[in-house]
Amino acid sequence: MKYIKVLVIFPLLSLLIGASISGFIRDKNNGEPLAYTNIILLENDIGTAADVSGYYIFPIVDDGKHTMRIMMIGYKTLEREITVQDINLRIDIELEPTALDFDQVTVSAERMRFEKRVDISRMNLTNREIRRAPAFIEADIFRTLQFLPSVSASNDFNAALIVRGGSPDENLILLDGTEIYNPYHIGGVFSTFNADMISDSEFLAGGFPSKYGGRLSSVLNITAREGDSKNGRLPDSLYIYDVEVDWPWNWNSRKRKNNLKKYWDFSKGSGNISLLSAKFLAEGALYNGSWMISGRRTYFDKFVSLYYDYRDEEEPGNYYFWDTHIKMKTSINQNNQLIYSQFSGKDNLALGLEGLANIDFDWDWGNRTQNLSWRYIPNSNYIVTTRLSKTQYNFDVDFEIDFNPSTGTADTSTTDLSSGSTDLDLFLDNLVEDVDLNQNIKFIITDDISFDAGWQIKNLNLDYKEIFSGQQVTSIQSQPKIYSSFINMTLKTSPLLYINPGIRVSKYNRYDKMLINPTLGIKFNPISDLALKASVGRYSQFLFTVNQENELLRIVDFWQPIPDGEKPQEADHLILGGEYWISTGNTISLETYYKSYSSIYDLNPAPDYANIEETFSLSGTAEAYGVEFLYRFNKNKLSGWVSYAFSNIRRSVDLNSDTILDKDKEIYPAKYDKPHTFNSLLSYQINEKYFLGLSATFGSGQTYTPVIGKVHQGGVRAYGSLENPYSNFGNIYGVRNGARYPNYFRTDISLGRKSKVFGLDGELKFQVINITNHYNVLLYLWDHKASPSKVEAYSMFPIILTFGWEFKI
Amino acid sequence: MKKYHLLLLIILLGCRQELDISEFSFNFSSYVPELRIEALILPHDATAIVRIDKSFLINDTELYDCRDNDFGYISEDSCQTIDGAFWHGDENDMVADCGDWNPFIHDLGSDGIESTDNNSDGDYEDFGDIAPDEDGTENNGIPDCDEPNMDSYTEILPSIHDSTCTVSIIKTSIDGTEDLCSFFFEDAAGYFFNNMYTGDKSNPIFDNIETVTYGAYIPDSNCGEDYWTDYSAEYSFYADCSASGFGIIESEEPITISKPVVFISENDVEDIKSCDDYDCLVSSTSINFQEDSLYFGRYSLDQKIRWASILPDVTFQVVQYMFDRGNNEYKYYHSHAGFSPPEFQFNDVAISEETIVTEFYDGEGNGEWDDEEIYADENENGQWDEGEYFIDTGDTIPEVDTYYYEIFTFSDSYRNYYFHYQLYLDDPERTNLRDEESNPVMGAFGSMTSEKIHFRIIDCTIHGPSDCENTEITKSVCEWNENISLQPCVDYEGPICLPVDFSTEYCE
Repeated sequence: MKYIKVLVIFPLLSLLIGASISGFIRDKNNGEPLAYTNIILLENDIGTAADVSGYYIFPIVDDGKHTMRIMMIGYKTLEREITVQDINLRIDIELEPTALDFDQVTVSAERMRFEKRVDISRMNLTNREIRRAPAFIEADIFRTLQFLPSVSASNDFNAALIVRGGSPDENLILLDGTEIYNPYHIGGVFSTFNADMISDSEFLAGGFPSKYGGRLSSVLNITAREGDSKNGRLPDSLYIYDVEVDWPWNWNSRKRKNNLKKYWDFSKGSGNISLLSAKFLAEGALYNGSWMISGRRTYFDKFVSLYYDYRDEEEPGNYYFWDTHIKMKTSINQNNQLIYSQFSGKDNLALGLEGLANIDFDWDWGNRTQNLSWRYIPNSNYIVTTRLSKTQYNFDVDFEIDFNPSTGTADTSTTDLSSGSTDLDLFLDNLVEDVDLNQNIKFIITDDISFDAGWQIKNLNLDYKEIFSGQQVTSIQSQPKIYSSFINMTLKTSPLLYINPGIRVSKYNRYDKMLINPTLGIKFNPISDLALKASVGRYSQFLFTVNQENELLRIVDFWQPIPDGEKPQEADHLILGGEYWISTGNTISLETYYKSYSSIYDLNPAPDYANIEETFSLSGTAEAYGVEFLYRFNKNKLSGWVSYAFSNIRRSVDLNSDTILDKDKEIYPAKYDKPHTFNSLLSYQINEKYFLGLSATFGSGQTYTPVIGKVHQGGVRAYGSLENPYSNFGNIYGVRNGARYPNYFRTDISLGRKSKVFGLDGELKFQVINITNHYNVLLYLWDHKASPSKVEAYSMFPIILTFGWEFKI
Repeated sequence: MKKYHLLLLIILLGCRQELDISEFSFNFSSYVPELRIEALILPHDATAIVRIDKSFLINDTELYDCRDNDFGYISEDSCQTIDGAFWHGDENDMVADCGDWNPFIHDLGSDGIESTDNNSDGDYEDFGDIAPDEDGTENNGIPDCDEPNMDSYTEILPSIHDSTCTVSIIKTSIDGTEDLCSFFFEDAAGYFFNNMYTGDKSNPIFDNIETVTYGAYIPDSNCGEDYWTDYSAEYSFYADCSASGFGIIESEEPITISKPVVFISENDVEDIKSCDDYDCLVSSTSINFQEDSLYFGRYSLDQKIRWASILPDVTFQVVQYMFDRGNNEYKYYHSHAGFSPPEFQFNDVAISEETIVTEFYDGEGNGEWDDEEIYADENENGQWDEGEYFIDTGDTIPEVDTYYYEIFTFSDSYRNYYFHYQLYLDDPERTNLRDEESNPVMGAFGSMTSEKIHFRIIDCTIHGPSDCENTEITKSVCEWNENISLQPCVDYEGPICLPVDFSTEYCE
């Protein structure tokens, strides 16, 4: 019903307003959309910019002849004469690339964003920027984002994004509009996003508009490439052979049109082999559209298997991961596009420890998302996107111990049936299913007024089970539902001032009250190259992960809904900042923020086991504030950024639920409170063949809770301590997070060389991680069974050399 | 699980560095040692025990002294009169440490791990090789820090205990009368089982499980057994530790002791659900668990013991013991925390279950030295000779068929101490002990009430058709099969006696 209203109301509105011009801007060579292209109507001196999908709209255009100029650095400027006669025009345009450097194209898009976007704390990264950054073995979007002043990492092994003190579960991570719940491989060493398939990634570190909801800290919106629809390699025609049966046989060939080419074609492929994985990406044309498929798989496990086969021994353990991404786009007609996107990723870790007791450990987890989007693009000044998506995140652990693994081999006349059976087992299962239906309408009323509006229905199914020794120890199931709608306006009240008010209203079926989240963004341009911005907003979150505070690695996320009847997590953002466009590609920005969390949830360390479902979590508050400075530059052959961030994050949680906040134990700096961080990320094009990348981070060490004494102690974690009260000589702790590891310092460099190997064009890339071999402490482990006690530090990455080869087919 | 992540990463990528603890002195320099008190009423055994132990400074230099002196600093002659003792002096010494560190099997060096040269090529550089300790402590003939049997429990426990306190537990009966039970310190007040060094501690046979005693306060004999089994009474704890400078420590509030669990059968569950007190549970169960034993067929699937408790008792300690026929005593097998899941909680009753491992345990060695068993090469000829001491490991013949489970319930206070392990030890919600200034004291005063159920695993497959279904012999857990395929367990098809609940899924 809602949709019918939209279909009726919007055309009526647009009729009242007048004629419009709209269409897509694409690359002539490969058909990929050109985001943020600048389009000007010369006679009226009005301009607009294409969105991330290359779509542009002029909402009101007078009748008559106009000249449209389309400009994008890196492409030939195009001018086209058009005549408007009281009808909405649809003009799709293809721009021809010039030989200019890709970086300049990026700069051009960035300038358009600088001029048109009100969003504060925004950063866009392209595929190329991600791939040029030095990285551990493979380029990774999360690792690149961690060089931004608003983002930090807890350690080298954890790619989780900590944005302005928020825990990693507070980030909304979208791939083609679909939410991803556990975007990590190998315990967080890598993200699940293969850098090759990323077209654009927009990161909003706070104060994000109301069209995004359900998270407290940030939004990472990744758009996958659509694929090359232009350079099909299938032949236009095929030879058909007719054979005469009589001897001697005559072969008559004739040409026939290759009908397959109309529906499917292959344009190009590329591959990449690194120390970690082998990757591929293929793309081509589809009926009125394009397709793209990418995938990667680690192969370390294959070498391990070969090694143990050679030694004729059992493998003690193995690990691999894979992920694939498929995207298909087709235009049913000029006004309707269908886009299907699918992402699958899986990790598997298996360990088998042989001894007098056999231990088998099998751990697999993964994400699977499917997303069908329908874009309705009338020849008018609005666009409607309807999206149905399903995300499934699954995590299984099987842990089995066989105390008598070698029974029955001795002299016995009995029938031994014990092979394969186990004595103790632990199974953990966590499932998150999210079926999401949403619709988004973008409507441009005039050049100065536009709005986004939409609604969303989220149907979740969460299931967490622990089965120990055949007994179901924990089972928490829930089916939360979240209904939301939003409206977000952009008003240009004067040439200098943009105002972006918005509101998001949500209903969570486990909480009685309606949640109203207003947002307001303001941009003021006192001069054309200076943008002063402010943003204030309230944000709510309905799910949280229970493994937040003390984790070193993030192998998996245990997602849980906010308990029944409890207020969802809530945070208020206040951000002030300014951005100055020094020159093409050179900007400087300064932002300050204050975030106040009125309710955050954490795992309850002292739950009531007779009422575990309602007491497994507890709420607290937090506040974060900081200042961030970022200088982005693009000078000659050198590009990148340097940044500094100051931040402070304090949490207040009544951990023992006694209603009194203990100042040493319950009001404390967060685990990832890092007062000072300097980052730099540089890329230098030495010549046509070589490029050099350098990244450096220097910052405060992470907090930890110091050990101040030792005593024998009991506790469920030290199994058997009741039977042996002296088995656990454990720590006595001081003030929570009251100490800090030494300062963190790491410099990585990468050197790339274009080359032809085995006849394939490609690029060889060498990288050195932590080139100074700085000892960055991951943790301290105490051994109290010595006088005095001993302490050992375990480090993060030492110096590591990696290399990879990227090739094109 | 988090430890597992950590281990994996450390193996793969981590670099380890031993640090000087003085770098951390700003953290621990102001810490003053405290007491940790575990005061436990044990109704099932009609007694109580109070463990009062000291905490230690990080830079304490006395507790682990890297000497093997279990039996003190005595002469060689005196040492040799002690069974299993070794004297650690040279010929010029009149007296020296006497302990249980055996130079022939425990001289593994400061890493505590025997060096291994898998392919005997003379180097320690191949995969799986373990090099001798770089500090030269391996096979140096003298006891070194961190070698097995060095600074063992026998040596350190006396230094941990505070035996100078005056301890009592006051019982206030339901009629308001107060009784006081005084405690006294006993050097061997309690015991636990410890796995001796065998080169592998994961699955020791009975001979390698030692009983270690520890010192604690136990009730005066005047207190009487009834003193500790009054479920309607309130108990309070009092300790005067002024002699060691810790002053008076008391329980914050009186406690009541927890009721034991009641073992039930699967058929009892429906009746039990409507119970609202312990007496109802007892009258509703069909198992006479205090006298009878349960029986399970070896290799049978999904066999469980079940028990019921009255809410809020939903947390337990589950401990399994196995019968050491040779020494005619039970030995500790394994334990873990237990919970009644929410879907097993009905009105006032919580039901819990534990899956039985329907397999025998290999509790005995074969009494002979086998290849790879650790031995004392007393004549240093590189091989085991008759009469040389060796550590007998499992003989791969599982023989232990008799076990019991002991299920403990906790008083509220002890439950908090045990299960809320993520809170600080002196958190006011974790401990119910307070000093004279009402500051929390590490530990807890509470009760652990237990109930036992014995069971035996019956191997049906050894019985022929005549005995298989004889209830006197196989206790109704076996049945005769005229023709059955045991694939994929074993390549056998034909007649056999099997557990009633047998399924080849057992092998899958």
